[in-house]
Amino acid sequence: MSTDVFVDFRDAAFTYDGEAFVFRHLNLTVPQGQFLCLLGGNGSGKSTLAKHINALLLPDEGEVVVFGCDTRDAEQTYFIRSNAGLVFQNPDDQLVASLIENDVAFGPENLGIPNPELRERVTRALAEVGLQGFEAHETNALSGGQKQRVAIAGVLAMDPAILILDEATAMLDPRGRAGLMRVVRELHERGMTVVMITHFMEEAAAADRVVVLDGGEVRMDGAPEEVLVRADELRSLSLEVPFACRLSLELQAAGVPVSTCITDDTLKEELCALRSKM
Amino acid sequence: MRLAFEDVSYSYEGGEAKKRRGRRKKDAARQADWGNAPDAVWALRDVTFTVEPGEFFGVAGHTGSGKSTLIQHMNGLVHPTCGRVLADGRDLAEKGVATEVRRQVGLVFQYPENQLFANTVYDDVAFGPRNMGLGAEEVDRRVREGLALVGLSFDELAERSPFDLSGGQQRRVAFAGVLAMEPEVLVLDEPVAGLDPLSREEFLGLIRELHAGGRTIVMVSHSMEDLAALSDRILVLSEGRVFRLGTPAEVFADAAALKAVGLGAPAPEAFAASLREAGFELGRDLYDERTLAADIAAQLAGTPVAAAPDAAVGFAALRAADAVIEGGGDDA
Repeated sequence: MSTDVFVDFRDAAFTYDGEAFVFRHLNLTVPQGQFLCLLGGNGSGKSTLAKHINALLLPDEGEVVVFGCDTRDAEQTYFIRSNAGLVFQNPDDQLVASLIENDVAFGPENLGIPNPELRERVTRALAEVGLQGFEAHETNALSGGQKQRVAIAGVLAMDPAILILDEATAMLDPRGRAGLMRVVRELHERGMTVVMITHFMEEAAAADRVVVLDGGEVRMDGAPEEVLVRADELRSLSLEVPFACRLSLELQAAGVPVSTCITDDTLKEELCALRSKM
Repeated sequence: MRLAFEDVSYSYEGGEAKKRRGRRKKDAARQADWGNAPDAVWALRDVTFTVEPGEFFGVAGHTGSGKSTLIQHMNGLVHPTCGRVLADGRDLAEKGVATEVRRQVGLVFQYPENQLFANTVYDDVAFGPRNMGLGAEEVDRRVREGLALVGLSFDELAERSPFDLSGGQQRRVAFAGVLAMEPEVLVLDEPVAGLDPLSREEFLGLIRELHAGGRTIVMVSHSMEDLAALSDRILVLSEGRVFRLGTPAEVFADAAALKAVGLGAPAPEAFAASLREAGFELGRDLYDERTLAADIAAQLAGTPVAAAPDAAVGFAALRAADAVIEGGGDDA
């Protein structure tokens, strides 16, 4: 099965004010079905990059090609936007209706989807985010995590090919964050292409690929197991090192022969194996 | 300043007038009015604790557990439906007390940068001191000091618009505005939420410095790591009630109970717990990465792990020492 390139930044450059470039000569491709995690400090250009994927922003130099279409081609904007769903950080900023079903239906309705398909899509999208049966609830009574799930359902109801999450978990508590991550992982397992921007290393560890941006440049690019273990480099880019990796390094310094792990589970397995050999 | 909560309960239901009427009644009568209402929803219920002068007091709890309602009581923004909040023994619900206490208890809300409003950084930071009726010279001194405390350059930034600054700088300006009122107690609601890891570390360092400078700090946080590292004591709220109150070691000793109320333990502590389940013997009360690595290494090398917990440090040690002194006094 051949996979298409869904997102292709070709030598792209962007500036807000005509002087300072957020990024320049940026090359990055995202193939269909990939779960890509974008990391970087504040001001590294992550969000600007995300907004190029659904043509909210257009490159000043080079080109951004999404689903094979140049984002500067105004005739393709509608096609791109209806297939690239973007979820932002603040749950209170992106809900538009007072009832959950109306909010989820807002996107597909604007695409001209008729009933009964519209209703089916709303029901399916809510089920996908674990909120089945909540159609008639009011949006203002929801927790932050639930609101984010409604926002994702609103995007899913448009049947997108790629889901972009711009720090969608940043304002959630641990339980809300875990719930949202479970939803995203399930969607990915069913074939959704995901681009996720986050500060949380545990979330990055769940991705297929991790790209670290700094000053608009791709500084690290690879599988989580390759990228997240480079502790010194991550720290120098003002990023955190996952707990399992920090503990692995401490253990190595204390003479315990473990590899540098990025998840608690793999580290625990290694330690238990060592213990059973005693 | 000593902030004491005595059996504080709070309900958002019912009109203000009803509450005011209720306040004039004796506590028992109020309890009868409110405490027995079958469908009353309580944001806080029978909450009792004291924040001691100079303490670093952490507050944890799942979303909706009552954390924000709790801290709004600390400078009299809301008053208890039942019970009392005392600042150095004075009831915040009494006429005029809250207005006075507000100068000594500075509240920094979540995402405080959203509350910046003035045309220049200077005017924004000066807003509080000016409202306190201070003279221009004193206001100027406080603006300079406030900005210096948060590590911003007065010369570079005072005349800039706060809206041209980065998110991290904006939050510092908002902090400076509260610090310029020179509060004794600083109440912080999720002060590092939404910041990148580097800014988080810088901000936590700043908060640590403010505490070292003698201020009492009350910090609400979702990060158990931060609370464990900074707090003298931690209050855990669940459904408006006090679920746990104690030193980090005491609070995080029961990871299973915390999980049941939607909270995790700090990462090293949680990992130690999962290794214990797998048969490791890890005896310390509260682990950080280094001590955990050392104990695991000792286990695997076959040397027994010292089960004795580390000596209590900081504020907790002080309290323990005080208790010994007081106890000794009784004996004599």
